[in-house]
Amino acid sequence: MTIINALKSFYHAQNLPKRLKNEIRQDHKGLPQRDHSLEQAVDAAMQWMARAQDCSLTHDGGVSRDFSFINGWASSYPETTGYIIPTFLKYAEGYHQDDFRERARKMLDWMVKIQLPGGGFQGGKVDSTPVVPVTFNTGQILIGLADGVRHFGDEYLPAMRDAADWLAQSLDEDGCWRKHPTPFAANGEKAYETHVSWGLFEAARVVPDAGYAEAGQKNVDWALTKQAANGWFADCCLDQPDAPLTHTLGYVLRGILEGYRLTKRDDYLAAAIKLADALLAQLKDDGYLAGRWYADWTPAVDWVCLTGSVQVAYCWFYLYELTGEARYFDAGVKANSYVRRTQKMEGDLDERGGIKGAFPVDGDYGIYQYLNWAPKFFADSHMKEIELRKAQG
Amino acid sequence: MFAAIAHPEQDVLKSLEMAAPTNAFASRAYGAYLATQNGVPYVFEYNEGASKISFLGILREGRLHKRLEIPSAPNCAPSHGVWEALQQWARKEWLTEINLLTFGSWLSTMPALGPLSHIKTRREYVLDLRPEQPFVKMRKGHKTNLSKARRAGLVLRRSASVDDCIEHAKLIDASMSRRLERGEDVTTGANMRPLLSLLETGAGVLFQALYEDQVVASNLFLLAPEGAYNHTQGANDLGFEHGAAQFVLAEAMQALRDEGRWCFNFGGTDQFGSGLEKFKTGFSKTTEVIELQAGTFGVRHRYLSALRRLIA
Repeated sequence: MTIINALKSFYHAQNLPKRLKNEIRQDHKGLPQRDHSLEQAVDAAMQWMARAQDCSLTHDGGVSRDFSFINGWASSYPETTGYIIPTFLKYAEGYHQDDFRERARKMLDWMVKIQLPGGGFQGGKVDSTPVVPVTFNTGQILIGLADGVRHFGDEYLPAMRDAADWLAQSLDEDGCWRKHPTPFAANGEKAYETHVSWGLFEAARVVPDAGYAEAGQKNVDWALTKQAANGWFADCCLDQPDAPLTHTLGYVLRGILEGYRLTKRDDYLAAAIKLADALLAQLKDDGYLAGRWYADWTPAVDWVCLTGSVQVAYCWFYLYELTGEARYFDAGVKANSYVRRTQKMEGDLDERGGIKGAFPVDGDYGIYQYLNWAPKFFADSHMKEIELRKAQG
Repeated sequence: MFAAIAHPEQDVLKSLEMAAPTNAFASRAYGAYLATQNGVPYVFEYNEGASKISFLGILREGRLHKRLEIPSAPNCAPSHGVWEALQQWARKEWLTEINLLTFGSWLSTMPALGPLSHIKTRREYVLDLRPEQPFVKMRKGHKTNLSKARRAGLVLRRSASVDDCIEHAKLIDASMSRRLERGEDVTTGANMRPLLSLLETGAGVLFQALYEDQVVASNLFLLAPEGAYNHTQGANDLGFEHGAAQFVLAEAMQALRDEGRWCFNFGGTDQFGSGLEKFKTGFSKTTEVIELQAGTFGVRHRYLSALRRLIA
């Protein structure tokens, strides 16, 4: 079987586009030495996302899910378009880029248009089926809708409330969401849905007395039952619960931290620190963080999940703000630097500024693709680093 | 005389419904459903002497296309005047395509409406529910499944709610996935939006099987005053195990018959001899197999049509 698989891989590799073969070859030579300023990195990532919005095959205001070396641009992806909105609005405000405010508005208008009766949002790309409401995707879009209300006023309030109500009402008694799983991931409970709770926490900031914060806390409380003594989380992956992605660990970590930001509950902070410290212990000096982790924190793969690295970097920065411990700041800087060195600042516009799913590009997360959520988390963590550096003087 | 009535009023739809009381694609509610979809709903009427032919259509326009879709073609011979009149109207309106579908129809031979770009042979399965015992010589497998369902205590529910519509879409997906795993050619995906529109306009209704309060099988039936059409269906693994698919259909047919809907259409397939066909014909030996054709016709070249619309 091994020989057959090797032959299959060889045959497959021979049929890849030349551009992709070059990319694989380059990536396997190791992390490029190039680097650029934090500001340049943010600008380039934002420009790539703007291009992804313009190049979406469905031309609807949403952001193309990815640029694939094999298939080119894709149709719009509701879930990530939702949480890209706050990044666009922050960039518009902080970097005086008014057109990004208008781009965010286009995304919001599209979100309202595709909201399903009942308040939920579909999973997958906008042209995927089945079109049924999905918990996780609704939570991510809720983050954007809440920010939309804060920036543009009540125009987006009904959509935000419908989504938040739908989530709060569909939560099981024990705090787990089971009724509306995504058809695009493996079945089972998902601890990383604390990132859905984050959506509820944002909605609670807009409408404080609707029970959203309570629902979000209930879910975070449930998720904490999945945490092991060494900080690792069970049932915390899209497809491989025994070896979760850094991406989904980043989700669970951010959700818990957002829970702490709203409630100031010490147990949330302690749980977040436990996971953040465990990841920090695995970080190499050059910023390398493996893309998947077994329960004893043995790396399950040798490639890097670039999205996950910058998600975790953001959380480390946030912990630095909370605790003042420099080790978190240093870790965030290292992880950012690693991912930044994979970002191209020249060449084809479809690639310039983008962040791949994995490094090397044939790693098994977003394989052969530039994903739209990778530059989103990349821009977030870099804007955070810039902010912290400014504060440090 | 030929008339194409855009955005038809209730009286036009009522007259359409009365002319074809067993066809769920000619109901007033189905006309209302078409009005919720992207496009302009039409009722086409053709009078020849004392006879009147009428049918529904929806006109969809894009940057390069202007396409008329007729969900349920009238059962007229290819030589009937209605086709020539329709073709003339289509040319006058600079349509690019006519998509002649045969859901709930009896049209077995395509008329000549222009160059044929696509043709599909399909079948639908119709059962007359008027006899006292409409299920004649039911397949053994169906009988076994019905017994299993009743033993398991499955309960039938009728609904048109949003939540139940979501369950329906999920169960369609579950069934599709199972068929894909079996190697069948499945291309349709479940989208709750049009399904909910069918329920909200009253064009359709859900019948669902519950096992311990969980929906395990679901069918959406389109309704006509004297007929019903099995629009979509799905069952999960638990439902499959307990014979829920057979249970919903058998129980729903009884309920629909009690309401005077005697002409029951199981829906169609283009996979002859498949498990799906056996499933649909398995309820009664008296099920009539309707041989149908559906096709797409070119009318005007899309660039010419687009240019004309640009100039106009």
